[in-house]
Amino acid sequence: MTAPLLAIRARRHVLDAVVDLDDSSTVTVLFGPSGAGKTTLLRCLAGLEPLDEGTIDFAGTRWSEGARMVVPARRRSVGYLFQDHALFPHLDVAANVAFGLRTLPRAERAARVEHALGAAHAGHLSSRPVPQLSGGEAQRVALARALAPQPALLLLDEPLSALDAATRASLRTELRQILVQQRIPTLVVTHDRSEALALGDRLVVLVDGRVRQVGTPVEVFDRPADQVVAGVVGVETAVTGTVLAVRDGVVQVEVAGRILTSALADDQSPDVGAAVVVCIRAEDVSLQSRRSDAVTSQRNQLDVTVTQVSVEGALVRVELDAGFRLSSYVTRPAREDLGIVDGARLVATFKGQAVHLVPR
Amino acid sequence: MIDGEALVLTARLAFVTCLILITLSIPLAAWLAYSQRRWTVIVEAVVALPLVLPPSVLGYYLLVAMGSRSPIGRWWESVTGEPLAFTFTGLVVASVLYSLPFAVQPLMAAFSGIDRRLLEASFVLGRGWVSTVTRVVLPLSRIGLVTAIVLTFAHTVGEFGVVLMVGGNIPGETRTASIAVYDAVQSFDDRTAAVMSLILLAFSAVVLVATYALRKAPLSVWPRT
Repeated sequence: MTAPLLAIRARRHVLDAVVDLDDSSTVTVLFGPSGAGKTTLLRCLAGLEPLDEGTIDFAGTRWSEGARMVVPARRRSVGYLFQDHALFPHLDVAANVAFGLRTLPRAERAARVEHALGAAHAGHLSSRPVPQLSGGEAQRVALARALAPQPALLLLDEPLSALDAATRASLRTELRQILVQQRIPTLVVTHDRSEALALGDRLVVLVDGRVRQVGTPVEVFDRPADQVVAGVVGVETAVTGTVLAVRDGVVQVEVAGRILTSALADDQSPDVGAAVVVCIRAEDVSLQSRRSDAVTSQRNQLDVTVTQVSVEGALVRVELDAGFRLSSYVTRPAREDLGIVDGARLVATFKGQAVHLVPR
Repeated sequence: MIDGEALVLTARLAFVTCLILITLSIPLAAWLAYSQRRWTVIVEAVVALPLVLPPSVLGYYLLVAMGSRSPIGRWWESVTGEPLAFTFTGLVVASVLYSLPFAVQPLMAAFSGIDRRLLEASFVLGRGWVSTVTRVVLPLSRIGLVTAIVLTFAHTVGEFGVVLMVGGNIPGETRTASIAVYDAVQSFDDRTAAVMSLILLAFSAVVLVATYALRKAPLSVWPRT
């Protein structure tokens, strides 16, 4: 087996992380709740904080060994995007981007600045003073500054968190495009689900300083490895149940007296009688007024009572009593059509594939 | 009536002291402001010592250290062929030590006020300490730098006790404006004492007004709200 591109064995304060990354995926997202040690890990990688114990190796070179910075921050060739940009307020945009290009000949520098600003879609900002930039513009400039020296590794700390909701949404897709175009191995720290899904090829879930799961974003969000990860990735329904039967690629689980059907995943082999955590995402649960007859064996239908209705942005979140607590997202027109109010009796349906079982 | 020689000598002393002090204080203040080591407090205290020490005490120790019986004084004399005590050079050394806190403290305050992430951004972009201080820290500490220069200059101009102890009162060599005032009073030359005092008073007032006016100017544009 060849050595990984980036090998992290990091211990510092609450952090105790082991991460190996090869270069097959461009963007790796470090995902976890606040205080999980994500930013600390990123700072250790950049050489801004020492480790207490452990090592960091990048492309065959030892960067950190315990508290010793074998390679100091300025020689790591790392692009770092700070949470609130950290642009130099006394320099204009072009000078900020050129800051990391000191070793280049002067003529080449201007071309590189222009190229980096162009890559970050910020070419028009070149001569602007930093204090006059909006949040979104500052973020593009900060990204251009990080990209300009053509770093070997790009580290982004909550790249969109300092922006307002509208800018965040538009920049999210754009940022992914930029990162893919650059083809620089990138680590992104975020606690935001949609950011993680939109940006990452790979997701590393960090909770209390430890890596709990590594996988593609869809894998992790749909099939959290355990109850803790399920909580972190925000699975709305996570209840305990008991496996009743396993046959023909289908698992039958009993939850609070109801029988649910779950599609058996390739990596699963639950034992009959085993206790499991049943995870169901609210967006996978649809509501209808009455039971339909044409149901396949893989589809679940449950009689439910509405216990709470709340508007969350464009959607309406409906809390249901199905013998256990179940959540569903519906559109506003659907809410009108179905007459969803507290106490209404409805039928909740969801596919067997939407029921994810996590061993307890 | 006006001791022009003393005024020129004072200006020269203040200028040279200022130049040496700012050059020394920038790295020292950066180290004190950014070092994580605990024992920097000891260095900080030593730097601040001239603020609380009576000038005559500091002057006494300097005189002893510079005298021809001390190793430092002897070494200096063997290298340069001139004594350190009761010379302009000795006066400069004394002024540098005496005015050290007036240069270091404003710089330190300005340096500490700079967002640490700006320094980190500079490091990650491949800059070392020297480049980071000259390209990021100093441009963002302009007010602190000007305050340090003004205070150092003014404090050196106003020096009396240390100058008298280390330099004595040699016209053209160590007799500064404040010594000239003292000398005039001692020899009942009221007119010279009054005029020289008025010049020093006016100078100090202008300096202070300028310093306070500078402090009211916007200090920093970072972080942005």
